Amino acid sequence: MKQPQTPSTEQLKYASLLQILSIAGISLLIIGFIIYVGEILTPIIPVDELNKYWNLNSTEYISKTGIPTGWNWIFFLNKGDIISFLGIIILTSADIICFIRVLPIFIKKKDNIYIFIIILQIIVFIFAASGIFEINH
Amino acid sequence: MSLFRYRTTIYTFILPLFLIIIVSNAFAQGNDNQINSLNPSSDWWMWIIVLFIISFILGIIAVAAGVGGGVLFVPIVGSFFPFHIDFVRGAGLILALAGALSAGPPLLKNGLANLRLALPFGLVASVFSFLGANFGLEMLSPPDIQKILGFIILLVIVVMIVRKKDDLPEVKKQDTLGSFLGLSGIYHDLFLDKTIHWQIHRTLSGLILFAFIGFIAGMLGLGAGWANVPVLNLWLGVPFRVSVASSKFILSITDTSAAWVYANKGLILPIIAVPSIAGIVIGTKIGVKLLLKLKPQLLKWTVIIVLLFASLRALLKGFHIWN
Repeated sequence: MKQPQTPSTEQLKYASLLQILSIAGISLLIIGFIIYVGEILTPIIPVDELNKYWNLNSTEYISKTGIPTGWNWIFFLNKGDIISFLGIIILTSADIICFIRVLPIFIKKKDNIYIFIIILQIIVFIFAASGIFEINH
Repeated sequence: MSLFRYRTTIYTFILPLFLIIIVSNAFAQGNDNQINSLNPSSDWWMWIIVLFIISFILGIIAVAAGVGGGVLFVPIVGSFFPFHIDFVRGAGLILALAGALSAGPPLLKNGLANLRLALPFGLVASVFSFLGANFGLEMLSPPDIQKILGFIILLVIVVMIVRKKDDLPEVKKQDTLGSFLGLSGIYHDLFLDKTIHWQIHRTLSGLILFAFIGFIAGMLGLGAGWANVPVLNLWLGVPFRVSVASSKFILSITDTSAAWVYANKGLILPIIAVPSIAGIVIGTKIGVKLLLKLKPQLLKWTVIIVLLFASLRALLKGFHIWN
């Protein structure tokens, strides 16, 4: 099956949305970093105390700092160190949002194999994002 | 010896030496962490500045050597900085993800990256990067991670040394699975000034290779470009330029599921990730300009020397010989 020389509609839609999300994610990451190191908002972990914790493993780090895990960061959006985390969430959600955006185009084209692949991909991402598969080491 | 060769020789030794001195110095200070911790308010700035400088240098040399920043970042920062290896892996994933997401849109728009090609391989790689991330965090201790990292970086070095490229691989007959998935395409190659029709073969074994790549990427927080491109180009028969472009896009899908695992555990520290991303992005822009002045072979060997040093350091750390 040969494809047209110009990128498909779904590929162009995917690219446009991905561009917006990647710029938004990186910008928010940097803005959050400035807010954190500039101490504009009160953080959970003061920036000058970070070096006491960054050599700890995750279990010790979480127990000593009380940093929220999973989706609990939502309740701490007024904290300086959580703002940057919003940027990370946008970056890690970018592909999920783009897949949801192009799925209707594949459905309209009745491209059944790729509808199945995209739905599977969205499920994998949502499963990973949900944190259902909790780790403790 | 001509002036150029003389300068080339200097750069070959100066660049890795400069990098090694900086990271060794950082490491030496890391050993004195107890002393530093007496004055924490001045401490963190030093690490962030050194991290930015190292990432900046990595960005310069990585672009010309044809590897992503993630594959250099994790072994070097993991070996020489005081950060726990879990935070370094988390930062490595976000670093690779941010780079791939930034590069993806223009490559998709100009048709070099191919969405259909990326979807099945990205799906398999993302499932296994999720498993790899969980396996790496749950089952492996930091020394285990350092040992595996050391061996994998040695493998990366071997791939870099023996790696060849095939601009237009010949695929005489597409396999059944590749045909079923519609994995073929057309693009206009500006360098060759002709329209290229391509199709792939060995699809099933390619999917298995992507499963392995995804697992390693998730487990160690490495980008996967070093392995994606040879598999797409040399094994599956995708034209080189389409392979490089689609690899970036596949990498973003691969790293997304692993990054969520690290993010949910609070293992992505913006204080480490942001200066690293900034350093790599600025360094990459300068690296692109340097690419026009220096021979890619020179920078490739610079990267190999740095990687060799980092892999030996990781192995020695893993085996508790040089902690």
